[in-house]
This record gives sequence, C-alpha cells and structure tokens, in this order.
Amino acid sequence: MMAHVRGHEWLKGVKFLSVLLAVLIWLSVILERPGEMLLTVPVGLDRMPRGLQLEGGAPAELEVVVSGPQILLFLLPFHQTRCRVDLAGAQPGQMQLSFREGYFDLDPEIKVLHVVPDTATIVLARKEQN
Amino acid sequence: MNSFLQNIGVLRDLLDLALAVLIISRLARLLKGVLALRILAILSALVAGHLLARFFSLQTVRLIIDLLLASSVVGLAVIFQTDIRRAFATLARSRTEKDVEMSDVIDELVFAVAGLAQKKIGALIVIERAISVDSYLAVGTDIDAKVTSELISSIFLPYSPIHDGAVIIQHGKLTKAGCFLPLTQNLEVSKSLGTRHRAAIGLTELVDAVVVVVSEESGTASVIVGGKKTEVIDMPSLGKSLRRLVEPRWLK
Repeated sequence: MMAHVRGHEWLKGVKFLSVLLAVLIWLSVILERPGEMLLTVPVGLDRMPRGLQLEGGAPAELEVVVSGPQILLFLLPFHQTRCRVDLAGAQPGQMQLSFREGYFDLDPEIKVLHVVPDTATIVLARKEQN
Repeated sequence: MNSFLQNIGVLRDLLDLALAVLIISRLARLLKGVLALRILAILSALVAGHLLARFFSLQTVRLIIDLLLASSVVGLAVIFQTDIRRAFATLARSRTEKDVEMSDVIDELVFAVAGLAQKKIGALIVIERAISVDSYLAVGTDIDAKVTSELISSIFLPYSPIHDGAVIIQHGKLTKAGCFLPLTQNLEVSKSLGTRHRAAIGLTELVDAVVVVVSEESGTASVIVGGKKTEVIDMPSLGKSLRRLVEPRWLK
C-alpha cells in the first residue's frame, strides 16, 4: 500500500516536472522568435570639440524601430537606450548627421530597422571669446 | 483572414507545447526511481537558468549553463543506459508475435512451480528475454539442458547442492543453476520480502528478464518484471502471465 502511494506521488511528481520542463523549453524557443519594437531614444552629442558650440537645434529624440529575439526586446523599455553622436574632430559649420546602427547602445543581436528622422543637420559655431 | 491565421499560430503553439509535454512525460516515465525526479528538476533549473541568463544578458552564466545543458544529453545516456536499453527492448516487442502458440517450456515451468509451491519449496527461476543476464550472474553451475518440470523440481529440492541460487533459462534451455543474483538497492522494497524476492527485484531492475519466485514460507508464487512483483493467484494465471511476457522468439 505504502509503495503504491509512493508510486502515485512519484507519478504526480514526474507529471508536474515534465510539464514544467516542457513549458520552460517551449518558452525558451518562443522567446527566441524575432520581434519588433518601437523605441523613443534620446540623442546625445558627445565629445564636442573644445571652442565649438551647437548653434540652432538638434533633434532631442528619435523614433527607432528595432528587431531581435523577443527575450532581448522585453527589457529594452527599461534600459536607457541612447543615440550617441561622436563629434570628435568636427569642424565649425554645417554637419550632416546620419543616425546609423552604430550610434545606438544596443545588444549586438538587436538590429535597427528604421530611424525617424534618419538624418539631421546641425550647425557648429565657434564660441565667442570674452 | 488575418485573425484566422493568428488563430492557426496560437493553435500551432499550443500543439507544440502539448506535444513537448507528452514527449517529456513519456521519456521521464521510462526512467525509474527518485533519480528521474531529480534529473527532471535539475534540467528544469538549467533551462530556467538559461532563460534568466538570456533575459538579463549574463553572457558567462549563459555559456556555462548552455555547456551543461549540451553535455547533459551524454550524461543522461550514461546514467540511464540500463533504463534506455530496457525501454528500447520493450518498444521492440511486436504485438502480433504474442499470438503465436507457446512452446512447452512455459508448460514445464508452470508444472514445476505448481509442484514446488504445493510442497513449499523455495525457487527462483530467471527467464531471459532481449537483454542478456550473463553479466549480472555470480557463480552458478553450467547445465545446458532441456527445460523439464522434473529437472527444475530436483534442482530446488532442499538437499540439492545448487538449490539456493537461481535457475537461468536462456533461449528455451536451462543453462545455469545455483546462480547468485544482484540484490535490489531500492529502499522502498518491503522489508518483509526475503533474499529470493530481493534478488529477483534486483535483477529485473537491471535487465528485462522475467523472474518467477516461489516462497518457501507461504508456498505462493510471484512473477517479477521491471522490479515489480505480481502475486500469482493460481497456476493457469501464471501460465497466462508468462505467455504474455515471454515471446516465443526468446525461447528459441
């Protein structure tokens, strides 16, 4: 009788763990499927050359459509994704910025599909000496 | 049309999940004992760990877990080689062959068991099926004789020098007698069972053999397969049970 009860419990345990394992494996497959997500990303102008300043405006935010495994997309809204534009070596005058994939600090598995706007023109001018 | 396609996608996912549950539970049931539960729990923890490592982009942890998961296939095959072998042997059994007329071996066996049980003489008879029992036998005397009820009865008579061990039937012949079998290590086996039953359970946990045990205390016979003991109510039911379990091809 005792062995029968234990056998019954064993079977229940096997069933529960089999379902759990199957669900976990299934989730790991499902969450690897590619998905897309729209993000609003702030633009940061880094390494502005000394003596230069931004004249006029530059887009403060970009709308970016990214694609990648769904498991990586889940956390993206909670991660401070930024578009970093490196201005090192920039010269005074007009400068055309093209927001390419390399500008975004994203996981290598996440690809940038569209950026709106995808380009912007900024004007750099020399700071006035007092 | 779009919603129909979406529904198809959901149904496909559900079918995928249901089949995964079915496959894993069927595979898990082939494995016996507490170890199967532990293995399932460890695999679940590893897959959950993989998911979390992927979710939080923990590359090193993910690498370690993925390596463990990949090598677990080989590890499981080594740990459960006996169970896997037994499972394949069971799968390989053809149902149509069961209808074939049984040989005299079973009749002789049943006749011998009936006589031994009536006289309360203990007996241990191993019938080999697909998996060889040779590597699990200790000592024993080679006989290689036709299976007859007289021979079996005389081997187990108390004054016989080989009455203590097991008789082995391989390919329809009585090949060995006085063999010692490995005792079961299963703690769940009732303490009231004697050495004969423990030996029978121990051997059938390792191979797919059918073992018939006659208890000298109670004079009852039981059939043990896959570590499970079934009491025999009467001799016709023993014959029926043996005909169901032992296919003619294993007696050739």
